[in-house]
Amino acid sequence: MTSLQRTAIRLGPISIRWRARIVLVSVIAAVVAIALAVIALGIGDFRATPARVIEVLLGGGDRAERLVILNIRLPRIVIAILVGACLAISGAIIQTTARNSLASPDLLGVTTGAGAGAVAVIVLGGGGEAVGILRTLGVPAAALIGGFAAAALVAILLRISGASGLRPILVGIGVSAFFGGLTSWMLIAASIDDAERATAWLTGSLGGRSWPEVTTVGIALALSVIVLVPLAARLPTLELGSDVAGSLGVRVPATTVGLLAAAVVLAAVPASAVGPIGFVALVAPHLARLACATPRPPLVASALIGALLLLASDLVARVAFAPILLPTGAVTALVGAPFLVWLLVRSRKDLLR
Amino acid sequence: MSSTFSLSDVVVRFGDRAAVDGVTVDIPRGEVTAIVGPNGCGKSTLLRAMSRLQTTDAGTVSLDGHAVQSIRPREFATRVALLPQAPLAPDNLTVIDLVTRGRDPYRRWFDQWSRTDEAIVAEALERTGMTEFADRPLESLSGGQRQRAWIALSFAQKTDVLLLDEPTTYLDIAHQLEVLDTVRALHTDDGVTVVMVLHDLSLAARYADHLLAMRDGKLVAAGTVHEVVTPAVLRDVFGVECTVLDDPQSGRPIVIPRTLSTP
Amino acid sequence: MSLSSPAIDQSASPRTHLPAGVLLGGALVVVVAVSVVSLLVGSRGLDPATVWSALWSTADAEAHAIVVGQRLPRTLIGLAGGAALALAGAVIQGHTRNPLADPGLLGVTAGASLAVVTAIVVFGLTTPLGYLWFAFVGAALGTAIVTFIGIVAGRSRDASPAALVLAGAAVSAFLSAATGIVLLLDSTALDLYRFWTVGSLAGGRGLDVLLPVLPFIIVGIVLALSQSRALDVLSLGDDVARSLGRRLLPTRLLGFATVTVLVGAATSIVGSLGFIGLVAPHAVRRFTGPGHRMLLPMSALAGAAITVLADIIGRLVVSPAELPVGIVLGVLGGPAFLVIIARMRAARS
Repeated sequence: MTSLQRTAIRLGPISIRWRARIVLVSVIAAVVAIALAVIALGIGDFRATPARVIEVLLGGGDRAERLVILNIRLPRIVIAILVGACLAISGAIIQTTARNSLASPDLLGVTTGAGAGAVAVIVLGGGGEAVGILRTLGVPAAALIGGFAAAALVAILLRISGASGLRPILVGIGVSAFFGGLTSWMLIAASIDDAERATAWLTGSLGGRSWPEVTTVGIALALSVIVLVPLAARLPTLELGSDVAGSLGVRVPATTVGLLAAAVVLAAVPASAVGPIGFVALVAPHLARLACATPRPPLVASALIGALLLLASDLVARVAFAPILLPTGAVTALVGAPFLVWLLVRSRKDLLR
Repeated sequence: MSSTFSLSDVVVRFGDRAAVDGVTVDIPRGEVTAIVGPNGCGKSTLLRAMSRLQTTDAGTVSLDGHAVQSIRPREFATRVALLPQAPLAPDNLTVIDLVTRGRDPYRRWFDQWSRTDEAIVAEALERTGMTEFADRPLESLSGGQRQRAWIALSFAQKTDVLLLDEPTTYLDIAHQLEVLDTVRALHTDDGVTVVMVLHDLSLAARYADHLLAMRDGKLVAAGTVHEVVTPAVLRDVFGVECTVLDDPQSGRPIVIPRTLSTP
Repeated sequence: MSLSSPAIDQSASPRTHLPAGVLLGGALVVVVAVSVVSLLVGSRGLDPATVWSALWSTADAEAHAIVVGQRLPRTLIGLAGGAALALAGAVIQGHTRNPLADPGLLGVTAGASLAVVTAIVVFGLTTPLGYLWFAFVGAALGTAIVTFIGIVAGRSRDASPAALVLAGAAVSAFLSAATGIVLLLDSTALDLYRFWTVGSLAGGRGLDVLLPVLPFIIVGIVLALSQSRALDVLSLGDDVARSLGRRLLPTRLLGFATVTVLVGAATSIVGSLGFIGLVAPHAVRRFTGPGHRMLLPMSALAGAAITVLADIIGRLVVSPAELPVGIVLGVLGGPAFLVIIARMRAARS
């Protein structure tokens, strides 16, 4: 019997494979993200050194510092981490399930659909500021409905026109345009006079978010992770195609629907909180896959890299043209779009699957 | 003790067309059975009905006396392995990653890798002659090697029954022999019941003990190789006039097509 | 340009065999009718008689201001911009043999918008003639980038219309983000010029914006119409075209120049408008068949009509506010795009 060069951690009847590289990449990403978070908390009109920031986080600092760092900046940082993680996981799941390296919730129109749902509730719920229950429950719920509506529309259209190669993306572009138009329509019809806010919301911004939004996204992430643990274990098998997966004992339709539903939730809820932010869901899984040298994007590593990406993008958005605040979505587009082009240009047979 | 299928009046419809039209047969236990017939005769559909990838519109498919629909997916996967036609895997998947998936039906924890798993995967690679290719990506292998990797996956499932859907189509002659020799060896050493859909009649005659000949969804002939590979049956099934000779070396029939049958 | 295989069904004969005169005449009637409606419709209800007299005399100052000062210019701008973009779309579709090509989807208008916005915000240019040249440069760059990507991507796979569109989506996203950022740099500019990210016929533009640009649009139209025969030959495939004596490079360059002029001019007056170049040619192809001699002028007329119609819809649905044309076209164009995709599959299989 030959040694197969695989390490495993074994405790009695339990054995788990230990993939050093994935663990390494994940740890590095987490450490860098935390470091970046601490730095970001200290940057802005009111500056603080990282050491001071840590003091404040641990309970020290004076009232002014605590106000700025804990009440104003911390929610933004935390939401960047959570949203980045959600989007990355969503993208990783969709890429693996669709066996298409360009599939991602923003390109498939899910985030735009979610945005339309969220805006609908905000607009119908009485003007620019939705409050209380409506804000914490109604908006995310509507975003979920919008996201699922877009996903369902894409699924139906792909049934009609076939789902191979780049067709899903084409359909996604059309669905995106439709829901995007609806969103703009609603924003204008509601006479939200603040054109800057409207434009900024449409491009995705983390500004002005606080703990209610953080809670919502955090709950969505936690629930999705719980649901995903058993389902994601099946991802490597699903990758072999529905016939082989079925033969290996996987209930393919149920598992696929479950995975995609989780992916839609993970894309829609953040979109309801911060507006549609593109390209993170596409780029983070690819980076994770390349860094870990695995055939499919590892979920945890993708999540951490996604958090890191969004954190970095947000920092750039705040700092690049200070004191002007750029929409974070614009930064992710500026970085993500060339990446997409690069993906497109490389010869990739798997895009034709 | 090996498992086996029995089919009773199985019907599968696509639209108004009956792809499988009332097939009743018992698959011989512990033997190699080949299903042959012209394109569109329903042989792939029949195999898929056995593996539960295709639902039946009428009739029952039973494994060891139990209807297959009543067996839970995981358990079924520990008893029947299917290698579908032209399987596609992500290109950069390595052989050992692929074969490891065969342990899925036995997986208790996320990303499990017990000593048993390790031993079985190693054995699967060895029995299919793929040990030296363990870390190679699938796309870098030849057609024959790739098919053997997939067969190793099926082997790692440790099942009593192995179903193969056209395992040699798209392969050239040397690779066809390579694959079928591997299958035959697995059967001989482990007593696995093998059912394979084959395009090539002579290969079927050489590697199988029993043949099922189908045409237009119906089972035209079933029996030993010598019983089925006769000019009369071949005329019925393929519409071709053939000369059937005996290969002195293997004792199996060889088919030489002459002309189209006049209707 | 991308060498995709013939994806537009060139063998299809037109659904109706109407003579050219009837088709063109019919289209002209539609355009005129839509324009008339555009003059009559608005948040201030004015009866036809008032509108008519306001066109000719300044007696009723208020009506005159509305009709001649607002509705007339926006109608004319819509006609000109829509015709130009539709024509550009038809030319791109012909050159790339890609039924999904559209200057908006391919990032060409986004490039022109970015250039215009940069000219206004960074260089302080305020006259249309001033930033028009920027628009041309932006349109040319956008076309070049997407074409380049389309060729490189097209070589590494079997020719796929989708690759070009996807490249265009990426380039558009990039350029739109950049445009948004530039606009933010000058917050006073944001309100005046935000329509450049979405496309609009309002924004206080009058004939003084249209007139300087009009000659360029006319030049572009002439250039486009002169390529009718070339485009017909190109639709048979590059190899066949060569064997029929067409020299490809000059033809491609002419097409490139045409698209640049048309899109640059149109974008400098209406902003970034998508889907017109896609929808108009597809809509008229059912009546004209694939021959470009009729397809091009009919596309232009259809584009003009559709744009003004979309503007009318935009003025009505959220009255007294108004929806920019770009948004109406997005809501309507998205489904239209999907229908075209679905039909592509049906035609191929």
